[in-house]
Amino acid sequence: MIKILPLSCPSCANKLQVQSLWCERCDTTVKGLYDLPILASLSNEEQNFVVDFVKSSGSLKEMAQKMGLSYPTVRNMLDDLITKISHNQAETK
Amino acid sequence: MEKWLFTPFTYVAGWKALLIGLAGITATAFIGYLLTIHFDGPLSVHIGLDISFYIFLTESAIAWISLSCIFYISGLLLSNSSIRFIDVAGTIALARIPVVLTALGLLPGIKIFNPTSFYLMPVFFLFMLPSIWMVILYYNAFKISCNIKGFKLITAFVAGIYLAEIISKIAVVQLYKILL
Repeated sequence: MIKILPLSCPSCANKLQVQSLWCERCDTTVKGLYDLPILASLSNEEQNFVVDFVKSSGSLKEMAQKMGLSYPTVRNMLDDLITKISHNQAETK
Repeated sequence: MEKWLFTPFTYVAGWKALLIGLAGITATAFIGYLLTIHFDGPLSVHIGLDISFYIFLTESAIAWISLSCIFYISGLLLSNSSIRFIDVAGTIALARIPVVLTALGLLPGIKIFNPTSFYLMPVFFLFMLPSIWMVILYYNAFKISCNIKGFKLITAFVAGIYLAEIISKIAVVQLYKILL
């Protein structure tokens, strides 16, 4: 089963933060208050898109071919993602 | 299926769309030439002069180029994306494919084009349905190739169609003055 990292609170819908990190090997727990990295605040599909984009060396043409979509469709997806990341960054600051 | 009918540009754009679209534009001009029907604007169809095939072809090309240029300029002004002219021109050319159906629909229509005719309603639908389909395709072509959304998209689309219609009328009149 693939677990999906929850990004917002199921109770009040506020953005979630990291409170503790745990080492599986030595059972050490680090406690504190950390913001989620910007990319972690994206949905699974969006994160996969970013990974594929990096793997394609940033080539939208290659991405379009792999995804079976047209060039402007993939470019629009990327632009929408840029807008979302910028919005998330502005919210974090 | 629905996506292929109304937003084929999700899958096809650029040169591929342009080549398919240009084939459609040529076919439309040829049918227009056979029936002396002029497709002389993004939305216009007129019965007119029986002249050279190349003028019919130029009229269809003017309708396509005028709309492509207007939408491209709108995209440059309103979109945050780095848009490409080939995507705008290609998707608009592909969006004109239903005009082929309009032309084919008019084949029997011309013979029975008579207000008292019982067959007028089927002719109306044969003509109107491809036209409505074309407008939907124009809208989606503009939306995808220029990445504009919301109120800006609707306003720029309506204004763009209207402006392209005026520009193509002026261009066609100038064409007639030069060639006839």
